[in-house]
Amino acid sequence: MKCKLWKVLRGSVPVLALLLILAAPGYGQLPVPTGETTFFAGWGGGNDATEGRWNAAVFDNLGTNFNGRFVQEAPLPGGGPDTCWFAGAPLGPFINITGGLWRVGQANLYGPDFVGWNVPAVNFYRNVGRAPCGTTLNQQMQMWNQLVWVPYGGLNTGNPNRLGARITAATVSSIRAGMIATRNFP
Amino acid sequence: MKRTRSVFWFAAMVLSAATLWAQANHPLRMVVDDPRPVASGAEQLEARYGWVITYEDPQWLAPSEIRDVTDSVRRDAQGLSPQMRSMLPRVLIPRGGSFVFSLPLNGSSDQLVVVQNLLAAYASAGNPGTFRVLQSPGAMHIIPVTARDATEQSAPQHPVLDATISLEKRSWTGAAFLEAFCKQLTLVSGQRVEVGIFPINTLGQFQADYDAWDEPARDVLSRFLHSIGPGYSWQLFFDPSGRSYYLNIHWVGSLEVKE
Repeated sequence: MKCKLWKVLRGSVPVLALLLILAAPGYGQLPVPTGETTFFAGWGGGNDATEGRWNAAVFDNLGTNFNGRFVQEAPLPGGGPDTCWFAGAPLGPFINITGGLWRVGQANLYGPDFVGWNVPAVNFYRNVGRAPCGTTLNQQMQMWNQLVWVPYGGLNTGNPNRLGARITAATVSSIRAGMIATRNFP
Repeated sequence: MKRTRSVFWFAAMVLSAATLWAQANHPLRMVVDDPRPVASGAEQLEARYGWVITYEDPQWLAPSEIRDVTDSVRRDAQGLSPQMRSMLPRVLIPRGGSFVFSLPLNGSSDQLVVVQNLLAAYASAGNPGTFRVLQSPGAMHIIPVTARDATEQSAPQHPVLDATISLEKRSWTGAAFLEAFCKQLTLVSGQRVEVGIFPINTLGQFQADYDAWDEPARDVLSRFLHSIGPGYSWQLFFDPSGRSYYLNIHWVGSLEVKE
């Protein structure tokens, strides 16, 4: 009996050792950005002509190349209110980010992140006399690091990014990380 | 003293067990009060159980089934004289209503029966319009059956998504596909259908070869969303003011349970 127990314990040693190594702080962890810089990259086309396209470049203090890594946006509470929306509207309220996933490319850039209402929504809210109106949303950027999504950055450098959109009678605006782009539309 | 304490603890335990038993064996009640009660009820089922339940509005045309919300919605009416205000286009929404529905104890119940019960509860509360449910692999579709027409007569509905459509074979992004889908649907159904709110970042990045040949629009949309991933649902809402439909897409996992 004693011998059998010893055999089981002895057989578990390599597995336990491997688990300890994997669980050790820092093992297998890749660098994670300390923030990101947002750039406006123009407006969408067709139905998306009223949505701002935003790119961002991730960075850390060591100048790490993040090319090929994945980032995603996650919702954070505190979004809204959507002052364009009203109960009974045929469009849903715009108070949550919708879950984008991007692969970081050259120069640590990823995108585009579309922010804003599409053309039919802008037209609808203007037609029912809601403009000027808008919304704000909170976006948390995360990088995939082996087995988990790790949030990175600070206010408007990733965690959280303040997003928003506005509609007036003549213009539309798209906001990301505190930066605002406005165009006349139509 | 010791005995009194024991009796007290025993009673407390019995009471807690009885409460837990009652909670576990009595269905939850869902109270829905909304301009689109069926859509709201379906959304709550989606959020609670993760089922995909799509919804299509009937054409809300009868004065008794729509509500004029111009005064509370239009900001451009503020400060205008009553005469000027009356000249502004009216803002109309479905009249809606309310109903009470018992939720199943768990998500393993027969999904079709649950949605049928929801529709029955809606109808028995005397709310406008009637609906039926259709089941397809991985989803249930709530489809309008009747609603009153502009002369207040009960009229059969011709669901927009019953129309058959064709789309050329090419590489589509999700966003471009939705735009083409709505344009084509407008053309063949005679009803204006616009793209509403949808997960732009997911659909904007998704790209795949796709086509459709004389297929019911509902099947085309289902197949397309399923190719992006599981859990995508839609709501096709009718706007009585502009007499247009808006196709809104959402991911069921992003909904929150409303208590």
